[in-house]
Amino acid sequence: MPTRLRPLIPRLSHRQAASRRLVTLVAAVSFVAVPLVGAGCSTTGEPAASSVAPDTTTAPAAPLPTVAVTYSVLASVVRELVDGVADVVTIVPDGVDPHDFEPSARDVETLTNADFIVANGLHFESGLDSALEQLREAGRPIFYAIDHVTARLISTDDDGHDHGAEHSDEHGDEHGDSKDGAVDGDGHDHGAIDVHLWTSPATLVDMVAPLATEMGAALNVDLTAAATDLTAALNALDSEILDVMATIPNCELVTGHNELGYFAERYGCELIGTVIPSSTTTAEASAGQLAELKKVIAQRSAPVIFTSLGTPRAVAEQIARESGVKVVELSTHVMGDAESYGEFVRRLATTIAGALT
Amino acid sequence: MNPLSDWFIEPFSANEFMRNALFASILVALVCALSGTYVVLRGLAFVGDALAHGVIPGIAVALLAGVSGVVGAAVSAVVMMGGVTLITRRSRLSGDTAIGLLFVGMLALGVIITSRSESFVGDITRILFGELLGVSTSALWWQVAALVIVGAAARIAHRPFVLMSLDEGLARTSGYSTSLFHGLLLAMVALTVVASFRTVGTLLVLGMLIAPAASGALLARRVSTMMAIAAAYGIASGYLGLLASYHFDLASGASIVFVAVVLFALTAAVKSLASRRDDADEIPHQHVHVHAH
Amino acid sequence: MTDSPTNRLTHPRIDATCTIITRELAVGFGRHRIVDDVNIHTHPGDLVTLVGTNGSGKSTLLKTLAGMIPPIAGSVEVLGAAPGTSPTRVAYLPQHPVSSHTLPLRARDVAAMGRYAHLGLFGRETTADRRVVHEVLRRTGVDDFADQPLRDLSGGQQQRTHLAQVLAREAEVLLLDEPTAGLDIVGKRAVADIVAAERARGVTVVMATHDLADAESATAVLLLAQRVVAFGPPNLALRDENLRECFGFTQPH
Repeated sequence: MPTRLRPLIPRLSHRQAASRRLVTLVAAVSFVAVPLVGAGCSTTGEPAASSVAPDTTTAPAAPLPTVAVTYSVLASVVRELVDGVADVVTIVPDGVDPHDFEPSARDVETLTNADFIVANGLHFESGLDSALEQLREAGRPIFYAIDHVTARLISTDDDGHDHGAEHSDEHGDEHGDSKDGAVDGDGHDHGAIDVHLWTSPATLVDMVAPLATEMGAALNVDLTAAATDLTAALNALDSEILDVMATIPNCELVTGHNELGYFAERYGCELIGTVIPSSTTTAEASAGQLAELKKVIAQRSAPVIFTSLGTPRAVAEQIARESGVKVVELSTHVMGDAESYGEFVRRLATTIAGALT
Repeated sequence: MNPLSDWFIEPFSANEFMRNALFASILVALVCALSGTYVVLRGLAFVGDALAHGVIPGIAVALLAGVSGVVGAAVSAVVMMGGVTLITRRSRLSGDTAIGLLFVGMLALGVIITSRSESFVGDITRILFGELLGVSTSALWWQVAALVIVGAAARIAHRPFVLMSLDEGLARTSGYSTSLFHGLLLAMVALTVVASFRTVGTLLVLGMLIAPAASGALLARRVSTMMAIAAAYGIASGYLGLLASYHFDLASGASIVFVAVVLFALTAAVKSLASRRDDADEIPHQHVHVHAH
Repeated sequence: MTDSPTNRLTHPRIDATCTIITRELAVGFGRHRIVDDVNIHTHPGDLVTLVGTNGSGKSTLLKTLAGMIPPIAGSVEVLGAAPGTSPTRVAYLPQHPVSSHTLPLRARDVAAMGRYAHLGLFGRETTADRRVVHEVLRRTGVDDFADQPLRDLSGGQQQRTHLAQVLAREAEVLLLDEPTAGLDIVGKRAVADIVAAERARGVTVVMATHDLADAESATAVLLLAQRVVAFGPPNLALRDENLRECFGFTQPH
């Protein structure tokens, strides 16, 4: 008796089919849950800062020489010297953290083709170090700002307190390693040099004359008049800021990282603590350091934590919440809407003053 | 004050950020114990690694778009899972090679996206290493939700997972669809990674997935025991890692993962010494026996 | 086809009690055919031994019977249904089941997994299930080391444990891929005894093996060399000319 042949497509038993449906449902829920759980968690980052408008001035009929500046705040100063005489190009886009910026091949090409380069120096724009070093060895004209200002040494003890600064006059053409100072075992920058020289116009003003001389020579233009004007403007700005900051009865600063040293020293503030215990944003805060910061905030009755680009926002907010203080964002490395260096510093000072009075 | 409690308890009692970090670590330990147990049983650690790295471009794109990074991670994880499944099915390359290429490609893509953006706010460092000390209480609830879902999936899929770790043929012929349950495990791992990466970061979350479960595999004789040991080791790692970050000024996420790996190494070492001692015990008896002749 | 010399059996014809029926079955992977035109049928209590070298198609045929890979051509019925649709009634033992040394599973747990086909995802283990497992552990001798984890067992012990799992299924058809591989004489004897006991209960066993000795008590032997070389009772199928074709040598007389 021939047996009836069944189709080759497998049929599931009823129980198997039910199990299969259940499992499919759970898998589908998991798939859907993945983005939903994601959506429910609080934001890690913040909405993007606005991109800066193009740096280059409109070129006249004859092509202007190009001056490449590594970051935007410094570029705003350089522009005041060579406006109309040269195109100023910024390498690190405004809003990107210069502490951990990595250049593309295009960026290196821009640096190579520039007629003059202005950089901060001392590994601030560490991603550009090797490119700049090679260009320097090839004899390209590079101006390191740190060489021409009165640099400030950072001296932090374990509490993160900043005991004022020891000055060191660093004139001359040394850059890089010779100025690193000592970094001791626990990684704190004892005796290291603060790179954030642009936060104080009183510091910057020292570099204007040498910059005008060197840049003028390289571009074959006379910048002495512009230099005189810029020096005067910076000195006026300095007085203005002194007045603004004098309104603060007791200026004690808790900042994102060790970024306001020059500003604090000049305008009578004390740096009492930072969220990231370092002069660069690429370090990470430990639980111990955050606990210390809380103690300092309590001891000194500091009313606000100032954050900036690269500060871990969630951490700062958590500490602020526990300490009962507010969080105020400062623009210390970013021009943002500010159209000139003067505006940049004014905003910085008025924000600080506003938060502390 | 009792100095012992000062050292072990006070950092947590005096600081909300420490308590939150501890809760987050505990939740991570639990969810990683669930998923990690099956990942280790099935030898899929590499795939877990791929998923952990594959979330990076998603996070980068999400942050650029102004959306929560975790949403991006989730989408990216799903894409990765699809990619992994597709590649292991279709490719002539060995699974390892293909998956390795896929996740390295995703990682590189993530770096490219973040580096070329003019408006990227949010350190790639923090994506890679986590923000454990800034975790908020609301984020903890979502971790709980993930834990519940992963727990439910584990409860449902336990038998097929265990059978599949023995042999996929045995699982299939017992009536379980291996492709369905394989997909479910990938989904569990993806959900685990997305719920956990903010504590220890994407680079290190694999450590929390694998090390405690691997320790459990060394010590346990049953899967349920293995999972319990994985959870205990994970919680201990969180607690000790946070203490190390507090008292010795170390990075928090990395300390936790380092402790987890050290615990595994110690367990493996103790176990191997113990078994060597068992073997050695037999020899003296034999000598006695020989001499007796 | 059933009349061709290599396919003739001195054995009852195809009827409704047949447990496995294949007609012109071709097996392989994707487009790659390994064995063509397999025509076999089995009754309860039969033992069909698949004999051949590695790559001859034994495992592929077993996997097709188990429903793990689809047939390329022809038809196959196991217990009157398509392969793979009755996990509670058909049990499959793969070749060298992967026993990773990290698995924290005790031998008794591995054996108990044989009940999963009956329990599904959520079914509770009953006393009846536990009794079956207990009995299986005893029959296979696994109860001597039942509480030890898999990773601490020898190859032979692991093989016996996997066999115990298959037996715990209480299936009507057993598909065994090289169950005696890696076992010593005592182990092989134990497997032979178990197979005989299952057959006595009416279970159909299809067993792939390298070892010709396993084929001696078979109802039928299927000799494979990427094609059907012979199919019939052992004394006919294992003739010298067939063996030479399969292995390149003959049995010692």
